[in-house]
Amino acid sequence: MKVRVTEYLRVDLSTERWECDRCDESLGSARDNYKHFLLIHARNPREVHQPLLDPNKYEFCFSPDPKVCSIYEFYCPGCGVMMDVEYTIPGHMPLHDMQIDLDSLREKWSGSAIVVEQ
Amino acid sequence: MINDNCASNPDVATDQDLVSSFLSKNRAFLGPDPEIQRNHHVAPRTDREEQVLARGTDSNLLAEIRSGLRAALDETFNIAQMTVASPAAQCADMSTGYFTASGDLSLASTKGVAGFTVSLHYPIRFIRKYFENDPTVGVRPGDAFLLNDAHYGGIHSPDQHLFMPIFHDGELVSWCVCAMHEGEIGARVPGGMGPTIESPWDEGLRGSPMKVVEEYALKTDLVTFLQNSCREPQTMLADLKARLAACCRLERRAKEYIAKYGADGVIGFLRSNVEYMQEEGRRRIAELPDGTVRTQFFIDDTMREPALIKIVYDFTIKGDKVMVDLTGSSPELFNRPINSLLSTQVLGVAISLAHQVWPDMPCAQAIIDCFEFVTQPGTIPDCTDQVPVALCVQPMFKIMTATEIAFSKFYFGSPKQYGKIKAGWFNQPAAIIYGGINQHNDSCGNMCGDLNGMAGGAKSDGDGEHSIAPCFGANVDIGESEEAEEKLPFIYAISKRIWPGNCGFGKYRGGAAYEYGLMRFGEQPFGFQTFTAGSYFPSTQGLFGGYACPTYGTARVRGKNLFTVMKEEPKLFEASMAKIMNDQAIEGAEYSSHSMAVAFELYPEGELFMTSQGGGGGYGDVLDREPELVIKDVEEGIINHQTAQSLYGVMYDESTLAVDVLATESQRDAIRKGRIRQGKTWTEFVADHVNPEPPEGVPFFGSWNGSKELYCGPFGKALPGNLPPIMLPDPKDTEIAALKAKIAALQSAG
Repeated sequence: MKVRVTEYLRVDLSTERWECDRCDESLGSARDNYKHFLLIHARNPREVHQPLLDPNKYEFCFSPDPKVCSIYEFYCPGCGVMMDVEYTIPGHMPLHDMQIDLDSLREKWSGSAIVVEQ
Repeated sequence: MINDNCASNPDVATDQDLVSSFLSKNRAFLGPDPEIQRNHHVAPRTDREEQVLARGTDSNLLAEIRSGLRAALDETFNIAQMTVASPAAQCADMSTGYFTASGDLSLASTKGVAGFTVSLHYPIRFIRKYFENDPTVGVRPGDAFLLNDAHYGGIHSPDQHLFMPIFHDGELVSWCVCAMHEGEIGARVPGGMGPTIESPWDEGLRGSPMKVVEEYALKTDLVTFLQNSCREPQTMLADLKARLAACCRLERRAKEYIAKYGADGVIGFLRSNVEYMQEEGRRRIAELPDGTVRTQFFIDDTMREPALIKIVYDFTIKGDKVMVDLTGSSPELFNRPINSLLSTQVLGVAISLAHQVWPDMPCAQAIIDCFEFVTQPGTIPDCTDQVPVALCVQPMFKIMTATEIAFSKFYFGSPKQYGKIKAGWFNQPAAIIYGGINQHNDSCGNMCGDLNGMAGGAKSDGDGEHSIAPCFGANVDIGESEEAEEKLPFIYAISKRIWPGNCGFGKYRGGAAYEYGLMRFGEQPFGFQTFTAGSYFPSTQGLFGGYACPTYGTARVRGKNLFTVMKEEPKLFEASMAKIMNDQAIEGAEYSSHSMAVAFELYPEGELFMTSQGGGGGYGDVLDREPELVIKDVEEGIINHQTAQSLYGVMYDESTLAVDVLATESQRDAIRKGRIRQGKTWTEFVADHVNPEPPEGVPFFGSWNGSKELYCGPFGKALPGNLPPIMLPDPKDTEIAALKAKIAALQSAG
């Protein structure tokens, strides 16, 4: 059985591996942090959020300050879909955001009528 | 009890009796009781409730009573909303509710901000524990108690709540409340909230539960005291009367139901409804897979200076229990107002669950009875009583977003969901607070209804709504600009204008939010302030690849009467913050931008103060957004061409907006390939980007990359329990010192 746990990430409960739901890439052991198997890029937030006020005239231009804010983007190594985005302080460790108990997940889905299978 | 109620004349009692009596009955100060304030759980059944429920319940009868009491709550809500004077309460920042005799919220009005009533079991328990048997206070029919101090319950001191006990044949059967955001409470700054509140004693009136009503009448001496304690004496009186009228109606309706169904019926309903919510919350948690979802937030401003203040919320589900772990969060700030009591954080979880995650559930503390909270006392989300909490909504709104995000992640992979999977709602109090003398020569100090114009987060199946409602209440309003202009000496020179880029981008974008600008009118002393973070670092979060909202600031045009400009050269004024600020077309005017936390200042006639409400977080990868939706966003001014093309990868003719489908596919493929090319593996990334210490320049507070010690900004780092008092200098003193150093350097250079 395969269960989607985010918009782009799914887990194969038989093999206990993370997979990309977009390209089927097998990412790694679902007992580990899924982010260990993704590609990561630290992006300047000004590339994403265009300033409203002219940054040459104003310090506060309605766009994040790259000195204190970095966007960590997490991509599937197979297809490049962006699986997660994390706004953080430059130098901060990426957050291990999800740690689902696989045995419990399997138990919740067993016998359920709404099974998501590939 | 303050008095020594020795049974006989203490002058003739034995020494031992006196000492025993003194120790058992006297307290020098009835401060907040940790046994009450640190316990959000439902009270055990009373003997009376046990006796009633042991006979079994008739669910049809309970439904009848529920419908009737809910109608009474909505009826009184409507009456109160039409009669209150507080601008926030007029916009529905209020709630009515019925409680069990022990103080557990059983039913709240469907409209308004149920969160007000969710945290009011604390003061009812306090009253019952300390005042009920105190002959100088007591609890009798026709009494009502006023509360506005968060240390005894509620959210923060600008909120005022009136409780009334409901008796039947001498038995206390229930409590009712009319709760609302009053605003003005005589704090250091107008409206009860502001960046320059630096101690609990700057917060103005701090009303522990106080009996202001006896025999269904307001006590004139106390009302006079309350009116003298704030800038808006008329509003204070009007709203006390409105709340009292609401409580009287609620008591009348409850008694009608007691007459119809008996006290047993009403007592049984109130308790069984609480137990239903308690059990249903537990059942829904048990449905979810076990696991942990971690979230972290960075508040970027102490309200006086930039800072990076980390707040951690880790949610762990095991069976039918949830543990919310806040360890690693920033130490409390001794002289800044953004600290939060634990009770406020607990409340944030209940509100978010009821509004966002389980929208079919009533909002009450019983729904989180199966939650436990792990904190480090003396930190921002669990502060001591020694620090100010006037702007506790900063960390409170963060735990609300954390709850939304965490449960979206738990629910996505779960067989059953009760609400939408969603990115973060906007989560800042982006309202302008005003104060001074109005055109009717009345003293005033309160908040614009624009507070409620927050945008919703994107959903897993659609875009978020534009400026729809605040994160803390689904059924409230932003008020009418014209009504505000009639009462207050300003005009909305810019009103509710959407600007491009003000939303979280994604497969589904967050709702957009509007900018607005207030221009002073008249010569009275009158001014503005704001108390919002998120000027350097985005405040809310996207989900599953969706981006967050942008950052916000305030902008001012000063030194010129813009009414004169409008009259003489109307073409120079366009109701657009970007146009006004970037073109700087008005000669002689001073243009400046600032963070969203600016201290109160007076503004002369014709000066303009501008800011913006915030957008919701985005959902999913931007490259998954249908090109037609991207073009619609361009047409509606929600995004600009650069965002559409470079971020969303949609290729089109800018004059006709006709999409080139093949070029778009090609561009999006190229962006995906570029991601794979530039992305680093975990090991490479950690080696290149992760640092052992936080960046220099802006003070950091909290745990850095898992450190057990908490960083304390300029005060080094320390283990919880051993944290230094963080007393930050007045920014004006810092600026003066820097200027003095500069002068000294210039003088020594000759």
